[in-house]
Parts: sequence; C-alpha cells; structure tokens
Amino acid sequence: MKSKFFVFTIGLLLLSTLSSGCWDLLEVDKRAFVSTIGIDGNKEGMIHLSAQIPLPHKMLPPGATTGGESGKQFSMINFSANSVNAALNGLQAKTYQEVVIEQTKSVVINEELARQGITAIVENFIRNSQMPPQAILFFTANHTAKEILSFSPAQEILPGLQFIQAAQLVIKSDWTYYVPLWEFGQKLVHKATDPFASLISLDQKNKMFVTAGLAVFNGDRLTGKLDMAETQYFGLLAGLMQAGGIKIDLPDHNILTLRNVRGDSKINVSKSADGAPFFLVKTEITGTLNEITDTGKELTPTYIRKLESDAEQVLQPRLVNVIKKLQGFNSDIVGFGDKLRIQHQDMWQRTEWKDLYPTVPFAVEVKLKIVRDGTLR
Amino acid sequence: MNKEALSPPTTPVNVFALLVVALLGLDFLDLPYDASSFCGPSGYWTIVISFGLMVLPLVLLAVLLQRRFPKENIISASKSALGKPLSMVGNLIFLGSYLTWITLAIRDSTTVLINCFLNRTPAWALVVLLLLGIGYIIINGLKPVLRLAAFICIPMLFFRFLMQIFALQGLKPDLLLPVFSASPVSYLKGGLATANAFFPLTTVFLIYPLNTKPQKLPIPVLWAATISLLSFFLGIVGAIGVFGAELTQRFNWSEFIAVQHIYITFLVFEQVGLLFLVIWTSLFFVAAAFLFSVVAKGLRQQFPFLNYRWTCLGLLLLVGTAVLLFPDDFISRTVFTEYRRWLVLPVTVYPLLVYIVSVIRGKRALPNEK
Repeated sequence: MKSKFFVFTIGLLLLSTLSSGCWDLLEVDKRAFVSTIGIDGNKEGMIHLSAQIPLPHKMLPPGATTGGESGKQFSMINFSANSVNAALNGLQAKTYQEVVIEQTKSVVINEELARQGITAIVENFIRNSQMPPQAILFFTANHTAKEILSFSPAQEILPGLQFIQAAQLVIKSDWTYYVPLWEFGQKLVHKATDPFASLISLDQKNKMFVTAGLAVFNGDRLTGKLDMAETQYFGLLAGLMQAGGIKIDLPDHNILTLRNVRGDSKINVSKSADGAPFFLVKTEITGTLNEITDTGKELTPTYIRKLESDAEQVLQPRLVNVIKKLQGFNSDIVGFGDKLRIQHQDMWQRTEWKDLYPTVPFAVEVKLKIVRDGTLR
Repeated sequence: MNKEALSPPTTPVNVFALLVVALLGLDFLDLPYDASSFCGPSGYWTIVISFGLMVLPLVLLAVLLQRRFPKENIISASKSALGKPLSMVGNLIFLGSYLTWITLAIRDSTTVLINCFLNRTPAWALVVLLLLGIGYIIINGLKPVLRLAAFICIPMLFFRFLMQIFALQGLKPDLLLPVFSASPVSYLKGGLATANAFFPLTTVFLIYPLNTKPQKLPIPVLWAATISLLSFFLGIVGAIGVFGAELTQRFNWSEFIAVQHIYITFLVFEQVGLLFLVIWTSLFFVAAAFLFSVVAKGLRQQFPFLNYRWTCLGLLLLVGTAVLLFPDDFISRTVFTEYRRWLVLPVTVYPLLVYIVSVIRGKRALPNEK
C-alpha cells in the first residue's frame, strides 16, 4: 500500500513538469501569420522579401467591428538580405510577434529575379517543413512583388485569400493555370519537363488584380511569357483546360464561342528515317455552343459539322504557333520530353533533350466536337 | 508476473493485429526513396518483388518451424537444433537485431517529429516521453500490447489508407511510366533494398507458439503482410506519381510529404500531414512496444534468471542512451538507411539456419521443453 502511494506521488510530481508547456508553445496573439510572401531581387544578389500579415480585426463584417479606423486589412513587413531565408529571419526583427509561415497561401516572385534562376528560392521553401507545399506560386508581370502585395483591391478581401479562392475555381483554369509550390518543384527537377506558373499584374485603374497568362521556364530560368489567348491554347494542348470559354473567328467572318471547353492531347512519338524523334499531337476538344454570330440558321448535324470543321482549321495553326513559341523559349511545358522518355527509353537516354527540343519536328491534328447547343435549335 | 500476462494465448486475429500494427508502425515513410533510386518511375514494383522474395519464403519457414517445434519459438528451438553455446550466440544476434532496429527507428521517428512539427523541442525530451510511454505499456507483459494492437488496428488502418488515397491527389500517370523502366538486375536490387519494410514480420518466429490455432498460422501472417504490401505500394505510387522519381529521391520522408501536400477546400485541417503523423506515431508506439516486449521475453527465455520487468527497464535505458548517442540527424539517417537493409539478414537467415540444422540433425521439440 505504501509503495503504491509512493509511486502515485512520484507520478504526480513528474506530471507537474509537463504542465508548464512544451518548447514549441506559442500563443496565437504572439504569432504574425503570413498570408503571402513577395520576393524581389536585384542583380547584385540581394533579396527583398515582403510579408503580408492579415489584421483579423479589420476583416470582420460591417457591424461586427467595435470602431477604430478603417483601412487595409493587412500590414506589410519587409527585409532585405542576400538569401530568402536570411530575409525571412530578418523579418523577425520587424515585429514583436513571431513571424509564422505555416499558413502562407501564396508566394509572389518578381519576374526579373526569376530570369536569373530560382532553384535556390524554391528549394528553400520546399526544404522548410513549415512552408505549406500547397502555397501557390505567382510571377509578376510589369510590377514588383512588393507593389503586388501592398496593393488594396476594390473587392474588400485579403489579397492572399483572393489568389487562393480564384485558384479553387475550376472555371479559372482557362486564362491561367495555378501551380502549387510542390508541383513547381516537381517540374523543376524532372528532366523531361519544364515548369510554368501563373502571371499576376495590377489593373490600377479599376483597383484589381489580374491573374492571366503564364510565366514559362527553361530549367529554373524564366525565359518567356504566354498571353491570355496563348495560355488557353496551351491549356488545350496540355489537358489543363477543364471548363474554359474560347472564341473562334471563323473563315466566313462569323464568330463562334464555346463554353465548358475541355481539351486534351495524345502525343505519339515516332522515329523518322534519320533516327530522330517526330511528335504527332492529336488534340481533342469538346465544348458547348454558346454563341454563333451567323444567326437564324438551324443547328442541323451538317451545319454543326461544318462549324466544327471550320473551327478545327482555325485552331490548328494557333496550337502550332504556341508550340513553336515554346520551342523558341526552349521551354518544354507541354511535356514532349516526357512522352519521348516514356515511349522511347533508348532514344531518351541517348538524347540531350534541351539541345534537341527547340528544333524537334512535330505535327498537330485537332478534333473539335460541339457536344451541346444550349436552348436554341 | 503471471505466465499468461507474459505469454498470453493469441488468436489468429490478435496475431494479425500485432503484425499489421508492427509492419505499418515501423514503416519509415521513405520506402519510395529506395524504390525510385533503384528503379526510377516504376519503382513501385520493388515492394511487390520484396513480397515475393521475403514474405512468402518467411511464411513457409515459419510453418515448417512450427511443425517441427510446435510449442517452441525460435529461441528454444535453436537450443534443440544448435546446442546451448551456439544457440546463445545466435539468439543474442537475433534479438540484438531487433534492439538495433528499435534504436534506429526511435531516432528516426524523433527526427521526423522534430523536423516537421516540434522544431524547438530537444530530442531527449521526445525520446524520454516515447520510452516512458512504451515502458508503461510493456511493463505488465505482452498482454497489454496485444490488447492495444487489437484496439487501434482497424481505426488506424482506415485512416492511414484514407490519407494515402487522398495523397494521390495531383497524381500524374506519366510520372509512373514506363511500366518497366529498369533492368531486371535493378528490380532485384530494389526488391532486396525495400525488403526491410517487412522486417517486423520476422517477429512471427518469436510469437507463433502463442497462437491458439497453430494450423491457421499462415492466414493472419499473410493477411498482415498483404495489407501492408497494399499500403506500401500505395505510398510508393503516391510519392512517385505526385513528385516524380527525381524529387522523391530528394525527400527524407516522401510518403509523409505526399500526405502533407493534400489540399482539400474547406477542410478543417489545413495540414493533413499533422493528422497522418499522429496516426503513424500511435502505430509506431505500439509497434515499438511490441518489439521491446518480445525482445525482453526472448532474453528472459535465453537467460531464465532475468526478471522480465527489470529486463524491460534495462532495455529501455540501453536504447534511450544509444538513441541519444547519435550526434546529429545526418549520421543517424546514413546509419539507418545503410544498416536496416543488412539487419534483415540475421532475422531471416538465423531461423533458416536453425531449421536446416534441425533437419540435418533430425532434431525436434524436446519432450520436456515447454
């Protein structure tokens, strides 16, 4: 009995050592949650890092606030250093709270910095277990990351949340394609493909963010951009467009627009006579007829087939042009290299893909199918 | 301590629960590393090859040993087959392999927890907490371990598979192709390298006499191994299919990172990785307790003068000290990655040796041996 009491007392004493909290304890009010990280840089190798920190009391709905001045829903802190992590550490000196990146939703990187190579930046984020791998990467177009982050949009929502909410909408998989950090990292180290990410810019006049177009990379260097239309064609080629809307100027000057457009491609690699690879891209597109300016005609199967055929003739050279443009950037974001790796391992192992890709011969076949016609015959 | 607590009668269902918890709890979340480094995009075949190379012969060997020594585990069977001096050396190497494995496993699990969540917590604090918990479970014999394993088995399996299926989010089939991307020699090497995933299955040589239905021994063992195979296969496919063979090789715990990358809109848990780690740690806890318990029991069998509880305490202190002897994670990881492949050898070759010698020498269970 005595020994049990002794063990019980010792147990209670030992338990009391745990009640003071653990080494990683950090109260919520002592955390500065970063929603978006912005990274700029100069040619001397300095990194200018900006962090957007939401102010929860400014984000309450009208009526729920207890007064106080209105204004931005977030605060910004900045620090410059010669590496991303050094700058992140430096941010700690700018606030009384602990800067916490576990809730970061997006990372905005300056396009000029991206042209110098971003392996070190991406690797730093992937190595850091506190950084969410789902954070979406953006590259700036014509602005600095700091400008993007400090901008207050007309739609009163935290900018960091605005980006992520847009990325969650399947209909946005059209003008741009949102790439999370893990996927960018995967493409970066995968020898048979190149990475790409969404472009972001500002519409100062209307106080809005514009996420449209793609930043395309050759290895870890940004080498070019696709505009909104080109991004759509790339989406059709790469199977990324899930519910897009495309406009087609038909040869007879009529305009055909389709909605809920989905596109996907099958790429077959064959060996040409000289042993070099030849790529045949078969793109299949489906969509719902949304608008045809040639009004008054009944949508008979023959007429629909004519529309489809005309649209195929218009789209085919555009898809070819996008591929040629990407070859010009030496950026294989469609995944030709991956198809060569899968279909002809022997050839892939003998090939220095980056040398071959810019001039590799290819052909594109487009098959368009209008699957629905709306409420009019 | 009564005999039943130390050597509780174990139904086939209990055997299944113990083995499946041990197999999945001692999975170090980096099987895709070995799989992809040997075989590239089609590294998922390595674990199937491991199953064929290790599990099936192992089950056959367990059945053969059980028929020859129905009431004796490998510790007492080896005494009959090899004689006392040789069997003592063999048994110590056999049990020592488990101890080494536990030491490396505890160090690795501590490293995962510190790296991914408890950044500022010192390693010794986690090791002490882990060992105290294990000590509490095993101090009353194998029976509490058995009950705990049976209790957590189904819910943990459910959540583990659920998360592994969710981890397939964003999977690109192209990254898993071509279906055969390596030479047969590479597949064989990969299969041997990943065979250590089935290391805990070798504990069957220590527990089969407890089985209440000896004739049904292969069923729970094969079920446990098959379910683990599915989980390992899913883990490898998830990691390579999402991150590609190249990036998978750069992660320390790629299966965990694959779970961490899950993104589900409006999900309460923004980081599913934390939940996965809680589940994995629970499995690990019970799995490690099981290994400690069978090693302590095995040592007591070898040296009858030992007291089970004091043996457990000694083992906990020994392992705790050994875990903290590693100066840094780089050394522990290098040692772990390299040596766990070789640790499979003593625990598989020794039972085979015992069986072969017993056949050659015509030895069977001693009539007076319990």
